[in-house]
Amino acid sequence: MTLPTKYWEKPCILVIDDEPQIRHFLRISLKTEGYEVLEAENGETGLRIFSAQTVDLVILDLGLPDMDGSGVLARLRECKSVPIIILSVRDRELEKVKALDLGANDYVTKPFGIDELLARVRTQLRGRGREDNSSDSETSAIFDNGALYIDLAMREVVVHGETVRLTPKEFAVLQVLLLASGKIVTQSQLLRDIWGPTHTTDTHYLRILIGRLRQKLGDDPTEQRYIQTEPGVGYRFLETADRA
Amino acid sequence: MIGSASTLKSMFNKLSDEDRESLLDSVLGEGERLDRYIRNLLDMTRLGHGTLKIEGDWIALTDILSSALRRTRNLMSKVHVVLSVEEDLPLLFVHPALIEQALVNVLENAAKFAPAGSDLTIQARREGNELIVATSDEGPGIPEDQRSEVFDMFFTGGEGDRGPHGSGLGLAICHGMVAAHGGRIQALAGPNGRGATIEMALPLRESPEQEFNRESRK
Repeated sequence: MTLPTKYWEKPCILVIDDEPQIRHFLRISLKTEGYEVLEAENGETGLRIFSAQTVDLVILDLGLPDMDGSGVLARLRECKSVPIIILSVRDRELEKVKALDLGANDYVTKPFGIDELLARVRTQLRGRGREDNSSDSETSAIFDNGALYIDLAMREVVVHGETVRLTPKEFAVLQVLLLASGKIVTQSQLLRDIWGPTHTTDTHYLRILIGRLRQKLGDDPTEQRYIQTEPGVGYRFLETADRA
Repeated sequence: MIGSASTLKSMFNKLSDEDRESLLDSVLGEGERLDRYIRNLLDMTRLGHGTLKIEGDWIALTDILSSALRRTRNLMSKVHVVLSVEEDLPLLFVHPALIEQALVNVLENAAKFAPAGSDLTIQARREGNELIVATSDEGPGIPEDQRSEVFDMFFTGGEGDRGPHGSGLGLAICHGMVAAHGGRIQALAGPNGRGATIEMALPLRESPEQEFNRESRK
């Protein structure tokens, strides 16, 4: 049994990817950003390192030579609940959705720029090492960027000084996305949580509701500032929204 | 790319910061270009083999457009994107990644020919049972006798896989992906006789909006 890293220690990231070039640039960039880096070139080695060492986050390539990526993911999830970011290729939405359903926390599509990956890593490690898990949701319970004010506890949404009325389902969707700020929420999860388990494929409910929600929040459907659609996968409340 | 990277490697200490930065930009830009080229070759192969599986999903055109614009941000930075999207467009029932790719290819193509600082207009509207997406640039345009050929594989208007004319795969792939959805694509003269317009027409299914309204009242 290994103990989680304390917040004052360098977070340790395990990279499981068979491509040496990817490991090479991740090793350099992650170390430069102050992380400890462990590497594995296949699933078996990755799982061995994972069970023997203290790891705070895993970056897992789904296309490994020795094991099916989702198999590795399932076995990682059996042991510890550390964040897992998967690397996948374009046009494989189903693969991404399956991995997210299996417990991956987020994904990055190859080829990716380092800024995108680092942002995902920071989001996943946010709140790490705190004794209680509630602090993360407390900090996200109020959103305010001047133009849009959301208070989840008071169920209050104000756009440019005007209070906006949301339907219960609209509020529920906004709440789930905002509490997971910066993180991907799959469309099937939203449908299951808010409409119920028999509606997980009724994506049109979600599309129409999100369309109306964006309208009420003063978001642009094409240049999305608050709620970003990741077609075929899900939605993300943009953390950068408050810098708009 | 190899030239830029080898220059950086051999002369790193002799180069000014500016030159390093500019060589690195070349490496990155060329890498992105090669990635697009390879992706196009793979897409074309899949279309040719009929192994492209359509996994339909209800999606708003604006969601696909938003994602396509994010992916082409670097290329589009030299033009001024003008969006004219009709409000309350019905949802599409398509394979989002494939239509997104078709749009990305149309945008990349338009950006290639568009002069720096010019307007690149994306217009979306409903016409009967179709959703029309028209992308117009203010470039040299396409001669009338070549307008049907631009969707042929390896049609480049006379150059190799580089320069403004590209690989001759991008629009052929668009045609394949749109056709796989039962849609149409055509090249037209740009608005006011300037530049070129590529118009995609995607079939609309009966809107699930009514069912949604019943459901959301619960």
